[in-house]
Amino acid sequence: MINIFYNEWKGFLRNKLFIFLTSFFVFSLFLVTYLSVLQNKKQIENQEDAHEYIRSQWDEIDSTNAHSAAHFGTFAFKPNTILNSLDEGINSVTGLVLRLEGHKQNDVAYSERSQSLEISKFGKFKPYLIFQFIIPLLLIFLSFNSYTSEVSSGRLKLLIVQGNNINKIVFGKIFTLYSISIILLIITIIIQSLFTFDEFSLDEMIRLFIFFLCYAFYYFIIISLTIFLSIVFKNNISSLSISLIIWLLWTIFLPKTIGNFTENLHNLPSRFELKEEMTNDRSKGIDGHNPSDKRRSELEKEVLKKYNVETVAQLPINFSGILLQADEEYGNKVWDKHFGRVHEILKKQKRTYQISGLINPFASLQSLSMASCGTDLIHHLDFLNASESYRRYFVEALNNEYTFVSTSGDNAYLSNNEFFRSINDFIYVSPKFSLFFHYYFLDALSLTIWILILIFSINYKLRKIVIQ
Amino acid sequence: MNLNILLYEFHHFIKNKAKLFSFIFFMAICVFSIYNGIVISNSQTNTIEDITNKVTKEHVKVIEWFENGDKGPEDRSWVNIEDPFWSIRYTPTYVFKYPSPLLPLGIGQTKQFGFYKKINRWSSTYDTDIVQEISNYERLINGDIDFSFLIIFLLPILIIILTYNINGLEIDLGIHKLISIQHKNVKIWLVNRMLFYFILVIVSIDLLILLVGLLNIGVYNHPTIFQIILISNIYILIYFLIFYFLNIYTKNSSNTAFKMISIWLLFCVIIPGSVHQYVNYKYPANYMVDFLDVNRKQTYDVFKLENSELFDMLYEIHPSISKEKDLEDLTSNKQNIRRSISSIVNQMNINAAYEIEKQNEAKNNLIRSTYLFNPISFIQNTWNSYTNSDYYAYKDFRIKIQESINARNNLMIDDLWSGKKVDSETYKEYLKVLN
Amino acid sequence: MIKLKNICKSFDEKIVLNNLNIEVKSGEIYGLLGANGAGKSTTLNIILGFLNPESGEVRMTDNEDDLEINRDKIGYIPENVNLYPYLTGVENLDYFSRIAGMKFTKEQLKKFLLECGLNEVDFNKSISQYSKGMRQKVGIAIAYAKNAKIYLLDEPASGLDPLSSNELSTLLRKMSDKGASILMASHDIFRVRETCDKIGILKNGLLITEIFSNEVTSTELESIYLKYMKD
Repeated sequence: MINIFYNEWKGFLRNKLFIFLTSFFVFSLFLVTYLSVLQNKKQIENQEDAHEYIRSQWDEIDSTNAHSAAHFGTFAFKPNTILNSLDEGINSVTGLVLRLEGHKQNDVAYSERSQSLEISKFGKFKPYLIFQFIIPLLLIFLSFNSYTSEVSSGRLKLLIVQGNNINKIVFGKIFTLYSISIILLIITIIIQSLFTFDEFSLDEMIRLFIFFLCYAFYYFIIISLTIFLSIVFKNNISSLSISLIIWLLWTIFLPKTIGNFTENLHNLPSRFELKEEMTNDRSKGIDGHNPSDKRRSELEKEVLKKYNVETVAQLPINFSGILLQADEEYGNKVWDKHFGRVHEILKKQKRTYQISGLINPFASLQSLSMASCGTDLIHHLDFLNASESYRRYFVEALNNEYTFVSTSGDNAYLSNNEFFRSINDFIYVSPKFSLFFHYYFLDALSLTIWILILIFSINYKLRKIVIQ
Repeated sequence: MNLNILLYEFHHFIKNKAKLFSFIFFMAICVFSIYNGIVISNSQTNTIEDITNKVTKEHVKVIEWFENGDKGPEDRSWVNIEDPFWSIRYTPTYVFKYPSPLLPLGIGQTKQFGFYKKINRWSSTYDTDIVQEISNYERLINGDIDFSFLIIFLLPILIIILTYNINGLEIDLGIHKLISIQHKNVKIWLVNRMLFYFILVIVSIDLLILLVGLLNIGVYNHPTIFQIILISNIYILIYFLIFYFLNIYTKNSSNTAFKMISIWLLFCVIIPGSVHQYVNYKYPANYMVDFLDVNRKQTYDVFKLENSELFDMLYEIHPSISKEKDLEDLTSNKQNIRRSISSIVNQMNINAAYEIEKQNEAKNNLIRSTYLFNPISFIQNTWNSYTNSDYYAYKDFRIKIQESINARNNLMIDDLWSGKKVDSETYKEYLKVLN
Repeated sequence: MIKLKNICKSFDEKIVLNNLNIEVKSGEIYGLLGANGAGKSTTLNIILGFLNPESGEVRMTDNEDDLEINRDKIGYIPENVNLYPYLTGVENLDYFSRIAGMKFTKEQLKKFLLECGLNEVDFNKSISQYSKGMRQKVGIAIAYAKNAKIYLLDEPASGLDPLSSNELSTLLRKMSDKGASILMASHDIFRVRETCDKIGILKNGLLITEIFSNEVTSTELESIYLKYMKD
């Protein structure tokens, strides 16, 4: 097999078109990876600037009522990971800014795509665009006649007469083509590592390795499928046409149709419906700002009893703070119920979509690629949950201050700047990949199944082949 | 035109199962995409209807309060709907972005934006409640099966499948010399063969577009539909011209297929992707800090101002307030001043939003400046503008929102400072003005 | 040697070879003449082991029990020797030898090519610049380098100019003189008569007759062939 491998490479290196295309790809990958790193760094800087600016405003708050500060709130800015430059995933369509304040949970807003006219339907020219859309096409064009040209020229017979096994010949060709794709992948990984090496942790290395692996698996599938089709159809044109149609189905048509199907299978509520339901549930709780609320008086009785006093004025604490926190906690339950459901539906949709990897390995590739770069839905939901947890911590700290430090009347005590500064900042750290791997097991499994089926099919087909 | 070649191409077409299947398959997806567009359009219309019904019920409830002599809801004793401040507060208003009847032909950027907005006096055009509908983001990046997407991005691939081996197959089979002996002018032979597929594609697509026009709107009432037909036909023609030249100079069919796919990749994926990357480098995604600043810090700062300072600011925005008279009465107008702060904040929001729109416009100008070498984005955005689903359609929506916010604040300032007492007739007037 | 004994083969109930018996001794060149579809290529494919006969046996040694197809002994030269166009003659020979498990020095490779009649100036030209005859010489060099005992040639003279055709005959004779058994399937009556020691005429899978070439002239052979074909 090594001789075939060596000879195929010799052929490629003497083919001017191949040299041109490979140089073009190497150059493009270098340029694209470098520019993506630059662009990503600039975006990260902007995010950090925004974050610091907003925090500095918080740190400079004058003495004020802690409850007013809860309304003043803060913001969570969605951070970009270093690997966002390889695959930005859903980051261009998700909102970037989330307002965190008392009483309510806001929506993450201001997506990048809502800030201009439409540009590219397939996303920015980042490495993933080359890896997902362009290199597979190159591989199809390199593979489709790799086997049939040996048959039509009669060389296959000659090779077998010379003592070769047909399996060795075919797999020798597959591995040669595969080595080309692996070289392109390695070049990108090296460039990415070089430009971001100082920011790399072990987790990033693991992620980069997963990124490499998922594309390596996918390229093996593309090459062996194209060669398998050429063995089946025995004809260059048919194998090329069918391979191109499959590429089209996998990368463009099926992701849309299966996406549509999963959306219909697990229906998401409309924003209006959800808001109505939440308002309805929320109305059953305590209204922290409404003194005539019945549930409020029940809580009042409970607190008076606990402190063994007759009136609210006798309380050693600020009752308004208790009310606000009770209202907050009820609101959190409502949010958990409704948004928990929304997140669950989103995860179900993702799972169903992942199952489609069994018929469309591109779906598995896309999922793993985004996951390894920390730019998929699961990572986004993690960011939203972390933001919400922080919001709860933030509001609770303010409500506690309002309750226990303010001792006389609603607005009498103004918390000082030192207190506000003591509230921790929201620092979001992307989770370790190992913690999330179970979400992507199905993707990895689909790609593996595809590879095994293709190896088996090629072997089976080759066994049945009659050379004439 | 050589009718024999043209008609004989029909035989080539129906005998080639791959081509026939691809064509039928593509047309089926087109029909599905139109259906999908209708579903999106209907879902938006239904939501708008639900909101309108809910709002109407609330209006009826307030009118009942007036008729029954109630001051407001039972559990909110502090509310007095005879006071313009409260009655305007109890006039729920929504601004809608109605889906265009041509939405089934192109959903454009529809899924990036919200299409309804509840207005109160504190609202702004960049409130977080105007964000897109709840959706699966991974689904958003893959996009919908949208008719305009199919025509702009997938139709070229169908054309490649239909035409890549015209002349190339003859070379593959070694009969190209025979063709040139038999026909003498290979270029004319090629034109006629290509013409068959051009007519096939154009007629099918135009019929589908007209069908949407007939089903959804009166075609003749909507000249835009003819603009869509025109732009799609020119676009298709350009592809046929490029592919015609590739077929003339073909070496063999697989070589031509490779070149055709490369052209598609270049124009549909690589150039738009590169422009996208460059635009994003030049104008990174905006974290809206300036706007957030106005919306939060500066708003809080306004609350800290003295009444006289607030009054001066207010007078600048609403010169209709009689300065001398009201200023003299500053103490008794204290409540009016505090209640009018939203109008000052609104003006600050307008200024901040203007800056954001300016930044976005600079980004759009950069995008437009690339149209010469990035024609796909031009076609895409022009098409989106025809189906009222581009950035500017939503900018118009934001303008409508701002007008509604202005109307609400102006009405409140006018009636609050003139000491108007609201009755059911006035309230009905409010409904007219604010909705 | 090659010995085909009672070989029968059919495709989709159509009999392609009917009880075929052929023996090619060491140092002998056997020409298989026949029209298209007569069963010539099927015969070669059975010897090559690409097709299994329904009945009968193929032997390559004198040992009656040794029925194994041993490709190590076979050299195969197809009608069109389509070698890798981007490799030179030497490189193609090197590559095909390597995959046969043999490794030669450059000098040895050149020697093989030289012995097979290729001019030294052409050794390092890429195959895309070779004529059909030149490619055929490389094809024979591949078999020769492999030290093949059996040469199977499928329409070797088709498309060759008279000079190349003559060179091919000389080359094959050289190989047979070294003890090789050569079986060539062809349409070319003149070339078969010139090259082969023994000629078999195949019609619809049946070996109609066998003639020693030194017993007939080319014109006589043509008359015999045409007579059988018209019957």
